[in-house]
Amino acid sequence: MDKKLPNFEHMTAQDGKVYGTYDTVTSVNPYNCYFMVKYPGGRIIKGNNLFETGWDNIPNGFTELSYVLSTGKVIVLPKFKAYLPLVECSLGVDGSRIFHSINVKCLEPNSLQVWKIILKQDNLNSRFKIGDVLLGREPLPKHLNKSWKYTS
Amino acid sequence: MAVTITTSFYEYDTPDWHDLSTVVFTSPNITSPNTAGTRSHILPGELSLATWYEITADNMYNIFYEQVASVESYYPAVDPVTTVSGFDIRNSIKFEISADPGGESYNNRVTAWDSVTHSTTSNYLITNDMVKISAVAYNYYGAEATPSGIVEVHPPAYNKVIKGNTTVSGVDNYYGDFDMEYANVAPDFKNGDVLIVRPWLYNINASVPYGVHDFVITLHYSYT
Repeated sequence: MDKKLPNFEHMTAQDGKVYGTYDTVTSVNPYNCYFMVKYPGGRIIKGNNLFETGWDNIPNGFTELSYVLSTGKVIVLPKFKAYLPLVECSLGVDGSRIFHSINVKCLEPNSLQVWKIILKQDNLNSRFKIGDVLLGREPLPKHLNKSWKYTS
Repeated sequence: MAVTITTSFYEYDTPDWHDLSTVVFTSPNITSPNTAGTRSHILPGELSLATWYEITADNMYNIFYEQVASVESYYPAVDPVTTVSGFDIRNSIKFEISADPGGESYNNRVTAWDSVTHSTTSNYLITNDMVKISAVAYNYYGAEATPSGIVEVHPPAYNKVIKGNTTVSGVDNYYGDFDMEYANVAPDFKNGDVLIVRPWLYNINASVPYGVHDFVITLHYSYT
């Protein structure tokens, strides 16, 4: 994925600002957000960033999934049978890019629980702040593709 | 997996495909191609507005001489003669999943926001339903202008109002949702998936306030 962020200004290790016509968005620094998975025996695999997460390269069989945001907040998910984390972003035809959330789909016997981790907040519309987690539920998909990763 | 989505357009002057940086609605009475950043501050309603696609620090190309609705056809209607009202891969913005690394994008939506924050629709053109697109997602066999077959990924929408990421009274203010994948893999080796989007402005007349009305067309998507 193209890692240019022409709409970001004043990026620090923790966050960055995007100035619009009427509002200002504060976003996580997408270079410094990543997942961590722990395996039996203490092995830990750390993801890359929000551009190339590295999720598809990890093996199944981990015991814990967590997300580390650039703000320092760590979100530890409860253990489910399997996970599918999706980074939700928007790409402008001008090359501008905003990272909105990480939507972690968690497999339960009869449905999916969705953990939505908020990655940006703005002055006008945001009811939620960076690092907030919203819980939702979805029906089971017809198929689980190869990007689903199973716990031990 | 992570995906790279490219944004490009075709122009008949060179002819060639280019990376897109800006869509500009300004006077048709400027020689095309012209230097990127060239603008003519005509008054709303005084002249028709042309659609230009621009390359950063390079050239801008006149794609449409006026703002008219798309006729309900896309390829096989690729024909320079019909580009005034046609809708096809060679007069639209093309979003495409690149070969490196390939992969998939989920829950794709095309919409418009007032600025690079992608968060509000406080813009005269957007709030007054003047920003419209025609769009379709598909993959194909053969050359892009003369494909030997196409498969729709998501049904086309013609002259659809876009404004933010909401559904109001059962009407989606965006084009979507659908998934796209890199299709040039075994066993089919198709081209795409591509999403083509033709933007245009509706009902620009003397009632539109003077000034510059910037907005951003965006593709929302998810990936692993």
